[in-house]
Amino acid sequence: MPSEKVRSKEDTWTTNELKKALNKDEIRKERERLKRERREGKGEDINEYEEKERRHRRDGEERRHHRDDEDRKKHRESKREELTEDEREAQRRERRERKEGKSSKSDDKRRDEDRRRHRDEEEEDRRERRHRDRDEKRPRDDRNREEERERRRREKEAEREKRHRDKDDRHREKEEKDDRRRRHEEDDDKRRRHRDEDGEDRRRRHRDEDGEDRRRQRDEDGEDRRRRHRDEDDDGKRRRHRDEDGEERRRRHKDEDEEDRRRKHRKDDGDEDRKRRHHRDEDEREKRRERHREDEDGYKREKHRQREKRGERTLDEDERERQRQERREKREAKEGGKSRHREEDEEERRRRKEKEREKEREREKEKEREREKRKSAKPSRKRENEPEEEENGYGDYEDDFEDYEDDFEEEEDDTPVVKGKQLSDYDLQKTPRKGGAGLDYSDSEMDEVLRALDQENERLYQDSRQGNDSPRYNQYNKQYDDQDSDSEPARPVTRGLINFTGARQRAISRKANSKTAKRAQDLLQMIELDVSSYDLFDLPPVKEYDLYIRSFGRTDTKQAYVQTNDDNIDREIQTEEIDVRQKWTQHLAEDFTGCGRGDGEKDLDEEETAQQNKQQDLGRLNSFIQKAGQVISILLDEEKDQQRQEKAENRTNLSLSEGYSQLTCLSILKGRCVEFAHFSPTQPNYLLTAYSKCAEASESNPVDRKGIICVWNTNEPSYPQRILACESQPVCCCFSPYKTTLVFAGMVDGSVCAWDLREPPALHKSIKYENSDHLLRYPTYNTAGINEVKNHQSPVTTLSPVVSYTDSDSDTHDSHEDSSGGLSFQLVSCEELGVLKFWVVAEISSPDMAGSEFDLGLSPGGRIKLVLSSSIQLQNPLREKSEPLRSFELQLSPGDLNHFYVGTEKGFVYHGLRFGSRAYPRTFTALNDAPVDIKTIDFSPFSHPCFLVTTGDGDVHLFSTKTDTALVSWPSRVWGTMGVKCARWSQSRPCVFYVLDDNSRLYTFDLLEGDSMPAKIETLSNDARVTCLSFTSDVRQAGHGGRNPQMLICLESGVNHIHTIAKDYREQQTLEDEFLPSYLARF
Amino acid sequence: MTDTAVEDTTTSNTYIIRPNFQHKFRPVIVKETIHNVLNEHLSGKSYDSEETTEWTRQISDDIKLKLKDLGYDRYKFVVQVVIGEQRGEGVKMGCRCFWDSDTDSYAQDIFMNDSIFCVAAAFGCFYY
Repeated sequence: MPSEKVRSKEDTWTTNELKKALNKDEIRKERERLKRERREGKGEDINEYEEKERRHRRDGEERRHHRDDEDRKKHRESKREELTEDEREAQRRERRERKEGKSSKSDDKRRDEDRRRHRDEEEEDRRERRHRDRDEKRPRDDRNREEERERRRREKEAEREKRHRDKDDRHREKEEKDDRRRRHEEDDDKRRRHRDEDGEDRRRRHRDEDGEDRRRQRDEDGEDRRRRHRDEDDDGKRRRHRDEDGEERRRRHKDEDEEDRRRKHRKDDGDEDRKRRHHRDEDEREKRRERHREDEDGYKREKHRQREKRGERTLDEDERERQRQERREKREAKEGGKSRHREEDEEERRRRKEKEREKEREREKEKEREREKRKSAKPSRKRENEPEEEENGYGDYEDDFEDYEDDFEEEEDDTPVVKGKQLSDYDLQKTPRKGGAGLDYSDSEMDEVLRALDQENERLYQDSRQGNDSPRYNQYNKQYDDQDSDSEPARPVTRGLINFTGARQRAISRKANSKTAKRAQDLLQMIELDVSSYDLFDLPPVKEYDLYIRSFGRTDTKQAYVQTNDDNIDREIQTEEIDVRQKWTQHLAEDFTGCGRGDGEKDLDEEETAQQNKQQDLGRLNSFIQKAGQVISILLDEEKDQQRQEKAENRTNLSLSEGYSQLTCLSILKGRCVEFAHFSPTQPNYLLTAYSKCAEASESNPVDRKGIICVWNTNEPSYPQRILACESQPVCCCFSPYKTTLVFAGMVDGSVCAWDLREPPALHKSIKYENSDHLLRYPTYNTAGINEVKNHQSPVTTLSPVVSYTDSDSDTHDSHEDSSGGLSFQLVSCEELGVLKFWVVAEISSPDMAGSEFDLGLSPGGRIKLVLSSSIQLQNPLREKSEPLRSFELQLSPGDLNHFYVGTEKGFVYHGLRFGSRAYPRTFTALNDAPVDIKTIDFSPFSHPCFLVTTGDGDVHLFSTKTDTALVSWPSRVWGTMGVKCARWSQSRPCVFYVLDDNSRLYTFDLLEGDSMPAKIETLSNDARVTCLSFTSDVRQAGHGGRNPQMLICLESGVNHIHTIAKDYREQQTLEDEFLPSYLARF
Repeated sequence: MTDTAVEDTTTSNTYIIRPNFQHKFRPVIVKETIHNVLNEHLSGKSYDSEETTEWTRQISDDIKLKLKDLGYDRYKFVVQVVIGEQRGEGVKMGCRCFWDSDTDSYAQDIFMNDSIFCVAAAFGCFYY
């Protein structure tokens, strides 16, 4: 720029021009002129013939240039109008480019190459042209350009013609407008026309200035600024494209734009014109379309050229270009809107000024021509200034470019219209633009439409420009405006400065934008974008239970599960717990005392219980042993008996005896002898021995004063089974029938005692005497305690159960059983005073340990009692006067228990009946009437009706029960002594009986051998008197070979021998049992 | 035009369309950092509607800073933090991304306690 100025000032400007140069617009005009001159210079190279034509063309070019300038300004004004369309167009273009993609790029590159080539050539050509020969043949490009120019010229001529026509019309119809008229007059004159355009140009410039002045006042008007900013920002990319591509199109449509503009002017002339013109316009449109097609090629080439030039340009040029653009935009922004509004107002002013300007223009043109002539005349001089020229040339180039660019911009403005032309509603689109240019509307209808369209356009403008404001640009604008208004000449300078900084930024940003856009495009082709969706978070709604737990489950509460039946627990243990306890012991103990107490109360308890158990156990054990012992002892005894039968022990010289065993004489019974002995009739091994009263009682022996009866088991002679004691002296005793459970004894004092052998030993006291314990059993029942009336008054002589042992099996067996089973039987006792008493033995079901209050005879816990059933007082039958009859032994008839026989002191045997009045024979007497005591009576055990009687004088009589006299009598002289102890039938042989005398001689009579003399006489004991003789009663047993019959011989010394009867006397001889009755019958 | 053309020819092959393997956005690591940040900020806290806005900002900033430290040079990050109160309602959050799945990814972590749920998502977009 500065170079341009320098050049223009120094070389080409006249004084007038310098003066004008003060005005900025004129400087610009100068520049344009210079350019024109250059082109004209080029044009002069062609030969003379073409001179005119070229001139013509040049004029056209000039005109075009002028028009370009004009258009530039116009464009500046109108750009804001067109910008929206520009923008749209730019966008469209962009889109198109995008679609075209790389193909366009490659084309561009190709083009670039071409351009570069062309450029080089062109430059050379130009230089040659300028500096050497202008007649030199032009390169292709130049030719092309020429063609272009020709085409343009043609266009312009056509336009001119059209304009002429227009102007004619205008002239004809509307003469009130001076400028138009003037234009009409000067129609043919190019200069005038030139001037006219210049004038317009100037006018517009003036108007611009005016507008700017006014605008300065309205600077606050935000819209403009905003619009401007938006243009700059929004259109960044668009502008770029515009620069690159849009230029081409811009240039292409330049001519049409001019026409359009011209047409606009013409429109001012009137509506009638418009109609007419409409037809023409259509024609022109067609032409134009054709031209477009043609032009496109040419324009492209032109564009090439331009690009070539630009390629040569340095960065400065770039910047300059940008600055220029900026400037342009700013100007547009400033001038926009206002100018349009004010156009009508200004039009008069403009017209006025136009005249003056036309004059000036004429002047200028003349000068120009002169200059041209000068140039052509002095080519040498130019050559001299070659370097400068070159510079200037470059500058010119730059200027040219500027112009081109301006042209492009103008083109850009028009492009939408051009595009629009292709549409059918071209006119409709065009009309608003005319209205937009601020022309008056004469036709009301059309005016309204136009106005509406105009407004719409304006609105679009505003919309598109909104947001362009930024404080920086505002300021900038103000500055700029100020400068514009203040001093026109200073304007370029300031503008340049501002443009630099702003433009650089913008360039950078644009560059960056373009880069990024390109980059984005490239990348988009390389990258595949896809849509993917993810779930960031998914929280399901809380369930009720969770909510409950959340709200209640954590606030100081605890969850517990309870079974309803809380204590219903089952436990199972297979093994029992092991009871472990500590005990001490020094040696293995046999009882509880052998070990000590261990730990704790448990042991105490256990010891107590153990103590109790011990006692109980002992009691039980004792009872068990007793019972079991009896059984076992019996069994053992039986074994012993068998043994004894085989081995003869203690053999004696007695023929009667096979051997004997001795009953042990107890220490406590020392000095006593057995006075009475009784074998159990059913159990021959049981023996009762009643001891005599102790001769001299010693204090030490507790038993001495007591009566003693011993119960023996003859199988066990070492110790008596029981020791029965009583306070009185026992005289006689007997077992209970059938079983040896009870023992009865008659006392000296007349009492009868009963012992229950089944009583436990605990009930009885044991005494200790001479290192041995003896259990003394006291009578269970003692009749001594009962009423004296009932009791015997004298010593009991005989005691016997009322039972017949000799009953035939068949007859009596049942009764035996019954009586034994019920333990109920009768007992008969006989006292010396001749009183018989019958006792019933009764068993108490519930024994009273405390004793009975009523029955004094019953011992505590006793179960047996004797109840007196009846008593019989024996009466001496021989005497009427009843006197007490002393009686001795009583025997019940074994065949009939109702009969009893009692030996009396009167020498007869009393025969009585238990039930009945009299018995026959009432008495049995011996041969003599002498009263002798009948001591013993013994019935034949074999149920023979006979009995033996001993008397006190030593006679033995045999009586039959049927006769009252003795059958056989053996006087005492037979045995030589008065004293006969007893006469006993043999239990084994019916015809044998024994007689014992006081001298301990035993006479054995065998009736089979003869009844006169005893068969055998033996002395049982030499040294001691025999006190008692007894035979076992079980005849049958002996006969059956079970147990051999035995004989007890009790000596006075206390020695008791049990002899087994010898074989001769224990086995019946043949017919012996039948002999006795026959023997008896003999008498 | 010529400038850009030159540029095209020179730079067209230097585009980096894929991140360096070491600098690839790895959701696992990012998730861990998010997790740490969330725990750091929210552990022991209960919902407070007035503070949550502040929390979300803090957390998102913190996450963003941490991510920047992780050395994803060419990544742009978008961090989104949502804090809500746990009241039993169901919540569902999702996202849809239009991006290059080869390079771009996201990581997300959730913090929950009795009264708060917090969802933090970090999207990493590769910057070509």
